[in-house]
Amino acid sequence: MSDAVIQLRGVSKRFATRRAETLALDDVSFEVQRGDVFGLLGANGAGKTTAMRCILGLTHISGGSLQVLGRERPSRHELFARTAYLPEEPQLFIGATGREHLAYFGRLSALDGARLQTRLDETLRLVELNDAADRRIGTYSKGMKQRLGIAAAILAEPEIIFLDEPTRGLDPVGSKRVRDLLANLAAGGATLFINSHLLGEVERLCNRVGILDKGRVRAAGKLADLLGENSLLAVRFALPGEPGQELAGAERADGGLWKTTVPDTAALAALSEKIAAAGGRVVSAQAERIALEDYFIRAIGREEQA
Amino acid sequence: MKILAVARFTLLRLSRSRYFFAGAFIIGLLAAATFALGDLWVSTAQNLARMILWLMAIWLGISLVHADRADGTLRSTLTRPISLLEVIIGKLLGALAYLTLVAAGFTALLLLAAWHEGAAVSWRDAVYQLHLLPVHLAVMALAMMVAQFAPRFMAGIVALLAWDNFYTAESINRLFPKLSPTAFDVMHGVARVVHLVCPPTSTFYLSFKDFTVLHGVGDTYLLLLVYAAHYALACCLLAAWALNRQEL
Ligand SMILES: Nc1ncnc2c1ncn2[C@@H]1O[C@H](COP(=O)(O)OP(=O)(O)OP(=O)(O)O)[C@@H](O)[C@H]1O
Ligand SMILES: [Mg+2]
Repeated sequence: MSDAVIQLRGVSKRFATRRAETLALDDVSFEVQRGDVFGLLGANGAGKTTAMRCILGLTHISGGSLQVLGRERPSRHELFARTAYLPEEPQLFIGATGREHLAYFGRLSALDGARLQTRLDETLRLVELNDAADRRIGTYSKGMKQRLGIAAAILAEPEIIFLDEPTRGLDPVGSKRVRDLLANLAAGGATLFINSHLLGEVERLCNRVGILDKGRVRAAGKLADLLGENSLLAVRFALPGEPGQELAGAERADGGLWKTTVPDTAALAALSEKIAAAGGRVVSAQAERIALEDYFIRAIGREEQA
Repeated sequence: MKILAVARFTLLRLSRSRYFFAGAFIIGLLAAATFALGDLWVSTAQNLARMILWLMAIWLGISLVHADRADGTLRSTLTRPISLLEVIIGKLLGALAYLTLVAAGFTALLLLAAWHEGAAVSWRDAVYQLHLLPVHLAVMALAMMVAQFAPRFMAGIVALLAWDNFYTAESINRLFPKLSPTAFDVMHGVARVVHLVCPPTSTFYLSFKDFTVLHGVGDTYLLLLVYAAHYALACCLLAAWALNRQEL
């Protein structure tokens, strides 16, 4: 039995307004396993938020099938007793203090009494808001509001945490803090589902990704598999007196060397013959995992050409 | 309990809203007027307090769900293990608690004014504002429910017409002496329909006195409270049904 906690098969979502019809999700299939840190990637308008809201039952799907926590259609009660959601837009009553806001959501998740107080203190410390906890949310900065949202999501220790662009609007230091926090949660065994268009962030955090483009899945699977399949060989070579650009578009590297990449060993053999013919020699050839960014651009580009 | 958590948060929201201060200001004005009017305090201040509470009930009803939708707290509340019906009931209870506090404030002021003027007060006069609470609950629930189906100002008008003063032809004539016959017919007709769909309000005005004579104040009050609670619950069910069909 697979340990999938989220499974989408051919899910589609159509928004019909009076003027036009948008197919926000088109035959979307992927799965997330228990303990995964899943990153759903895509440009603006790709359908990430829509996919998350469909999984959470916050909008109805138009077609296909969807399983969460082993159930086809879990009740709202069942679903939200075990998951939590950080929405894209902060949804806060700015007149409340951070602590009041958290206490409210804690009580809604059936925390109360001493247990609630302990969790409030722990969580506020975790998101580093304990000093500002008794100030009104209206006086918080964007980053503080975002961290408060995360605090509300992790308060009741859910099994799956859905985060729609968790580092949105945060500066590099703030983003790193949030990433570290999420990494800690993942290390603690939580399953994370993260929507993002920040490839670097996803690459650092996630072990599984899905790439969404105009409502269609372009690639999905374990990050290591996806990028591993697409590994390249980085070649550095010496070529006395000759312009290296003519050889497979090589670039200058330091130490008077040239560098380029080739897709596989056959291409490497061909290249080294050429280099030898020109009187040079290969200095090094190393397997290099391609960056998620390159993979992402290729995944989307490939489909566009087809 | 989760309903109580919602009620508590709603009460917090209301007490932090700027309307709260507007309310306090009105109470202050009322107090000043009461002292200035001297012996007339019973009729004037009580009627004024009653009208303000009625308007507040309507305002609370039409903005109860909308305020939460506007800042997204309704959405985020619904991402917790709680049903929409529970949320709506909780919000209504919170608003009722708020209204109770305001009514208690009015009552205290009226008692103070009476004491200052040396007017005789029976306890029934003093609780005058508080014993209307079941009616306020019904009006608030009505306004809240209609606001989920129609624009808010429409909901406001409907709930306003549930006021007893619009029920009888005489009182409409008294309030709007220059109304054209057609306008009068429309207003009177709608008011009667509203009273039919909001029975706690008309029942209260039509039979409260008779009931108290027969059953005593305590029993009548309890009866009315239970009646209004059932009515409010029905409104909550309808509102939840309407909201469930919308993208929140
Ligand atoms: N309620 C709605 N009614 C109509 N169209 C909608 C609605 N919600 C989303 N859409 C459309 O669905 C598509 C996907 O939107 P979605 O918000 O899921 O994108 P996203 O990937 O989250 O983008 P972003 O990175 O900007 O948040 C868009 O074309 C959007 O216009
Ligand atoms: Mg989005």
